[in-house]
Amino acid sequence: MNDLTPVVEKIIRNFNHELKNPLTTIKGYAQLLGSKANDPQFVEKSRNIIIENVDDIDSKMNRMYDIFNLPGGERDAINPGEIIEEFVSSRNESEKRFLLLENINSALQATGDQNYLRRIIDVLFYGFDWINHQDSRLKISFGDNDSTGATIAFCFDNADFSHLAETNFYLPFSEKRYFNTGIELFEVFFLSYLSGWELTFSSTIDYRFLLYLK
Amino acid sequence: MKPNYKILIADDEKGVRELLKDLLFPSFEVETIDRGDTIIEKLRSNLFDILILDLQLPGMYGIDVLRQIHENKINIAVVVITASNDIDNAITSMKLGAYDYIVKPFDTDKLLVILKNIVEKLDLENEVTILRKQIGENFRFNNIIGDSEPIRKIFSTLEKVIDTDSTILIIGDSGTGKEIIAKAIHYNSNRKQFPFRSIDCSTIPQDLIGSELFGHEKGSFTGAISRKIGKFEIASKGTLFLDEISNLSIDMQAKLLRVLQEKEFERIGGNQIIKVNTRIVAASNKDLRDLVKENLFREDLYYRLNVVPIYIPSLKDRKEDIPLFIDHFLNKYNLEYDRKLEIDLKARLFLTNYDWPGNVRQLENIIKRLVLLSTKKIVDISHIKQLLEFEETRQPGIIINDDSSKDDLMEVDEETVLIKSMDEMEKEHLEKALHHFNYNISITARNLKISRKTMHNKLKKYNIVIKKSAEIK
Repeated sequence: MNDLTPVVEKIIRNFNHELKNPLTTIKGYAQLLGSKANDPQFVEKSRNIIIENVDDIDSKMNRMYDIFNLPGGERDAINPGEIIEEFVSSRNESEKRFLLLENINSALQATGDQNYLRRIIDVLFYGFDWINHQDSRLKISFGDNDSTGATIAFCFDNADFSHLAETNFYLPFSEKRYFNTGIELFEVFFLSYLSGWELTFSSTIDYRFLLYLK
Repeated sequence: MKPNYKILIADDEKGVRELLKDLLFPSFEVETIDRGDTIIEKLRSNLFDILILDLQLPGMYGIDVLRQIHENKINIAVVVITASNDIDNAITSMKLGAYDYIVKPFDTDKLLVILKNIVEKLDLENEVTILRKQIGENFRFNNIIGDSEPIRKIFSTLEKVIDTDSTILIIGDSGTGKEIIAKAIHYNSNRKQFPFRSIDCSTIPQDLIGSELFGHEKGSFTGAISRKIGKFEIASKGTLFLDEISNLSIDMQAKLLRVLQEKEFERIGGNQIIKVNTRIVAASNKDLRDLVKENLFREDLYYRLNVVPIYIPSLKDRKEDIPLFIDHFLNKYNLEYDRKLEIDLKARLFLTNYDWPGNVRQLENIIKRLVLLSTKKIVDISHIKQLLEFEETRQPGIIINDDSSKDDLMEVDEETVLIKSMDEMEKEHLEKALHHFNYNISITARNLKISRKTMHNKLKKYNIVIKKSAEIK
């Protein structure tokens, strides 16, 4: 329990922060409506903004709820190299320019849920805020492999993740600077966990996310 | 709220940015930004008065933005808004100069109150800036009267030392304008945005002068009921004018010498060493060298003060400046009292050739009194003589009878001419006006361009009672 306390505290702090922004907007417009009730355009705008922000809170809560309700992954023999190459080849040209593959071994075998691996790659790629970081690239490479498993390294060029802690980088809303919602790393971490894999974060070399397929 | 204050809203949440824009426009000019790393650049390229700053910003955290604002001395009032309840952030923000700190979701009214307070502060600062500028303009060198050789020499010397920290010693007879020169030094120097303070060492009792100069701590002596900040401290970075410095006691001279040497002192009754960077301009109407010889003034202090000596000659020794002074004071008081008084040529010549023992101050007083008291449009020599003779008799309230002027200068009807006080004149004028308007208070007040209330106050003040029979008692 003692070990969990700082993690829980950080989760609550992150959530607190995340919910207070839309709550500020909702509360502010509710207060403004009192003084601008005679302006139909403003009333309509306020109504839309309030609904939009309530939906935003709702979608974040739902997404967290859905992640916690994911079933345990299958433990099948899978070919990670093939899954990665298939992911890249099925992207369109404009998407492909954000991807780099290095040292992919198509023959390597691992155990786990191939759908979860696909989902992990999807979340990392589509969850990244490419619009504001167009000079970044997602480099996927294979690390050292041995009889106990294989390692896939996900590395975002030009993205500074120095603010993330190696011990709890995955906590919801710890990383909003480069990802669209801030839940992406948590989802990837949880999917890995459900598949019996391990996702770690290395802050020493290129801020790599290492997925260890046991 | 004033519409001309500019606010920059820095928040990565679109909804919050939109809300603040709707809340603050059009009371303020509003711009928004969603990243932290471009705020400083934006503040440098645009003149913003207020920054509403979220702490969790992409690119650069709000605390780091605040730190840069602090380090770069960017003059802006910052209101921190954050979703975090973290007290450390609040403390750090305030330490880094934030004006206020509010936690999301905040009441819009609370934010408006904070902004109202900031606007009041900015209004006051602007007012101070304008007033300082006005004061500065009053004391610009080119506003100082004088084109004589000695005055030109003074300007030439001052221009060389104006932006240095050199101590300046002004020597001149009473009334020659030493304080005006001291203010001109301050308001033309690079210290002008900092305070100018003056202290007349001849009018403050010696046992209080230490407290005036250096301040004191609460309870340091009987009557020290609270801490007092001394003029040295108030005028730090600015200028302290020590008038009639020859009147300082030997003890106080020693303390002053220490401040000049060490640039530090302790308040009376205090232990804390206070460092100051105050420029000293001292003045004396006595030759300090004579006092040094008589052991009444410390020689070392004299040399410390006398780094740049300025000698202001008496008015009689720069007669070519007198016509300039006459025009200057005439314009000044005509404007102040809404008059159009002129001085004829003979009177001007008389004024120019007069010895003026009281120097510029005396000349100014004479012209002020002429403007105030004369009922004619053009003043002639007789009026001037009348006033000057009165001064020379040194009998306040009585002037020498002068047939040539008794009927027009003060409108007197007796052989003995009395100078009337302003109050007496006002009372007389009120009585005449009341009589003219048949003792109708409202009509009289309206014609005198004062309110009924003021009229009643004046009647009370001068004990004028209007009886029902419409006569003044």
